Amino acid sequence: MATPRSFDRRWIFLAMGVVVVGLYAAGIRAPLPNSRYVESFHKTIEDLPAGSIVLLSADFDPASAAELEPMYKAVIHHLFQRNLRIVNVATWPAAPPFTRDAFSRIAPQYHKQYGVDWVELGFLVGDDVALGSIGQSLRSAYPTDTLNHSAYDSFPLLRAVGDSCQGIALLVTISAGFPGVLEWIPQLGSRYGVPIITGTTAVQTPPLFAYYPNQIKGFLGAATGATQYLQMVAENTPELQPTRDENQKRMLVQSWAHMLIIGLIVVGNVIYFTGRRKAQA
Amino acid sequence: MKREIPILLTVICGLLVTLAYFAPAPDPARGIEPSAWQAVNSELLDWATILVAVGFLLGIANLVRINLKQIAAKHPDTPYKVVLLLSMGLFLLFGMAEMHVKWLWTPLLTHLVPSDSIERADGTRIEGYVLERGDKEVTLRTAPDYAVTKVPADSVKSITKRSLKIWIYDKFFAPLQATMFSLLAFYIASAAFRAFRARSVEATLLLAAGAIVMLGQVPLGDELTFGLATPMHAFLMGNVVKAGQRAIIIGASLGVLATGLRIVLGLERSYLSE
Repeated sequence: MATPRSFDRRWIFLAMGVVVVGLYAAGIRAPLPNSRYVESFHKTIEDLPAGSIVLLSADFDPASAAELEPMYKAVIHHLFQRNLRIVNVATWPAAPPFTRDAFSRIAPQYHKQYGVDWVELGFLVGDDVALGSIGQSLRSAYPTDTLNHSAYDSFPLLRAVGDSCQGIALLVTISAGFPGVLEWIPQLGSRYGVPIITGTTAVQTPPLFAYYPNQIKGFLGAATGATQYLQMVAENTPELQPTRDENQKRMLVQSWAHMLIIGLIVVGNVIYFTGRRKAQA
Repeated sequence: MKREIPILLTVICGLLVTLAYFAPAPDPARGIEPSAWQAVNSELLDWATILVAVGFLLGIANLVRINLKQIAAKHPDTPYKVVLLLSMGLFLLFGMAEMHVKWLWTPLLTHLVPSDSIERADGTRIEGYVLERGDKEVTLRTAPDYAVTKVPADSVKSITKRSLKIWIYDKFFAPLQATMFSLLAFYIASAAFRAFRARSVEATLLLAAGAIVMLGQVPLGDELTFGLATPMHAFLMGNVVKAGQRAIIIGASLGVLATGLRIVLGLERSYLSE
């Protein structure tokens, strides 16, 4: 009898491939019930007075874009819908192409003006140090924007932020790892009292429970959190409904991929214990 | 002096940044003016940012040196190393060229940077390079001589930016990175079959907790467990994981604090290779 270690793992790869591709092609959607963490995330944005300034940080790259890009775009839609102003930064070098693409598509839908309703400050090198600099003085960290290379004070939005981050009403970080939400908490949350909400990858989600609801007001955990949030925001946003449907399709694929993994764990253990019992006999 | 000066610098910088952390943040609304601590802290943070950026340059130089050495020694991975160096060099070249459109020598500019397409209010299109788009005027470099010119902003209807750097990013970098991350699904499935064993009580608990979290994370989980997956998942994450994470975070933070204090006080010198 083949042991799990001697089993040709290409069969497992094939099974996973069939589950993922087959179910995705079937196009069946799987809606999710909401969680309180996602509802808190949504409510934190809803509770902000119109015109408040939100610091949006893109702390991810293409590797995690499948999980994080839908929630990143949904957040921009939600903030613009609520007439909130966005200062966008990035602490990962590969994030700015995503952010520029997202804003260039979404901002015109809400007739938002660059420099007044949103501004793109781009990537800042330095990890924790960069986050500390942003908290200490946004003007010093970003003397110019990244789209027009115009001076900080030439933008009405940045003049409203001021020197430090006292003008920032909320930080939303879409975070894939280091640097990300766990570094923003001490640098901006604890230090300057800026409320934080976040969306993260699956591996980054478990540590967030320790910070909820004090240091983090709400969070979107991975594709599940993104789908739950999209379900809430897309109700009033027809532009987001295809993304919500797409994520609901992905949730069914993820469901069966999880089932396959659980099944493989069970089968692997059955083979292992059967073999051990036979060896002992 | 070779030892004393770095230790002295570390002690001074460490103390200043630590003290600045506890100084009240400037807040004009509450009448709190920026203090000397903040000024010093801001300056030190700027220095640190510059040092990190210089670290990147050192990293590039080291990468090139090591890979060139291995290519010269005909390492079995030579083709990959060539691809690595070529990709890095080309991306750097196109990126630098785009950043310096204003100053770049015309033959280099036209070969390295794709031109922007500018649609004018009268419907005509011109090819050129947009240097700055202000409220009143747009600064451009346009054919034939690519001299810097300014046109009224209201004469420009739209600008389509083209970028070789973004094209490489979209067509190569993003799909390759996404592919690498996606492969995890296949390797986790294989590892689940081959390695996750309930060999002990702890391992069994870990497996059971993992299975519950996986079930509670997806819509199908509740249907297969008669609605038990979500509440069990919520209990695990909201109580067990939360408590465990808090214990780990507090323990690790105390460790970081102790190490930080030792460094600031000059007791820990491992960063000096001692």
